[in-house]
Amino acid sequence: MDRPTAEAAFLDRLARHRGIPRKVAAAYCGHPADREDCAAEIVAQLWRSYPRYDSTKAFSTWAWRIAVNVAISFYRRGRTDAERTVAVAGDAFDRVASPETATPEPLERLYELVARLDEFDRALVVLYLDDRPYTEIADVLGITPSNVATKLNRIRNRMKEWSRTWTSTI
Amino acid sequence: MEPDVDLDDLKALWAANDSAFAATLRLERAEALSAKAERRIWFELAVDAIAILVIGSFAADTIGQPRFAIPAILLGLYAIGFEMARGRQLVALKTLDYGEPVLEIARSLRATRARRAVAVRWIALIAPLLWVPLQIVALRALFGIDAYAAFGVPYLVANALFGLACIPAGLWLARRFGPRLGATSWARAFADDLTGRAFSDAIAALQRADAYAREA
Repeated sequence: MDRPTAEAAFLDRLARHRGIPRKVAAAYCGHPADREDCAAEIVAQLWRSYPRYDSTKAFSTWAWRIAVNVAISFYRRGRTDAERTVAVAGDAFDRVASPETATPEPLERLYELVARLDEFDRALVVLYLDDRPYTEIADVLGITPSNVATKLNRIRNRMKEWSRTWTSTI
Repeated sequence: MEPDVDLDDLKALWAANDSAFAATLRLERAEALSAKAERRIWFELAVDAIAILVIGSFAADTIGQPRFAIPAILLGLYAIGFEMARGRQLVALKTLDYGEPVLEIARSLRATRARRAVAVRWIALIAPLLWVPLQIVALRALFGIDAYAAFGVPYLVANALFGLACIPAGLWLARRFGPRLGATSWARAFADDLTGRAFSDAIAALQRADAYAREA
């Protein structure tokens, strides 16, 4: 596949799943500027990894994996590092890196809860919230679907406990 | 919302705000960003390779004079070790497929981080010992000065002992003041590498990823 065709195919697929980078970035980064950098880095990595994408498999699963992997690395690095960006196809970077609206407050509250989870549980919860089936969540994380169900139950219980001590309302 | 937060309540909230994520996406301008970090690594690899060639050439020229050849060989071995550690890191990162499952990538990255921490620690601990060989080789290669004759052996021995003393002093400083440095500063990262804290953290993180995959 030549570069323009690959770019067009990539942008088309990304457009159908354009929420993934920002959703994952928001789950892993507390500061709005970090979220933007993280989302941009996710798109950059998606484009860089695109030649390895197997088109017989679901783009969304592949994109979620990359998004979470990049976000965890970003989160562990604990800072913005603008130097670690790569060449991005066309306008893909701007598609996700240019916020026009602020994240609504209730969603911020939701992220406060998500932020209490460890890096793997965060991925699990974000995928669950996005209504991904257990099989896909398992595929993204590299665990079994039954393991996903067990972990979600534990998280559900922990969140209920937290919410009891939570003074604010969502 | 009820005080008891349930994941399914949050799911509804998430879905209700889905358009907020989509609304922020827009087509604007085409721009390519350069891979500065990667270019820097390649530049450093090239500089190291040139250093190895220069040191190797000096060692070959002075092979009949062990007092110059041996320090050059020591420096060359150090530079080769440094280059190999850096190259291994680069290969590990370049071959990493971020499209693999999250736990698999987490394990790979953490194992790479642990190997890097070990390499940096040894490179940093050995460096002060090479101060004397570096003086001998640099003075001879650049200015034709024989450090043994110019400064005398006692001076060189004192320098070697000073280098040796720098190791425990550096470790003490890193342990004492490292935790006070900014969590993301390069100095903190170096202090953590030097004291072995970075290695311990990487191993602990690796074990957490293993445990997460195992627990049911």
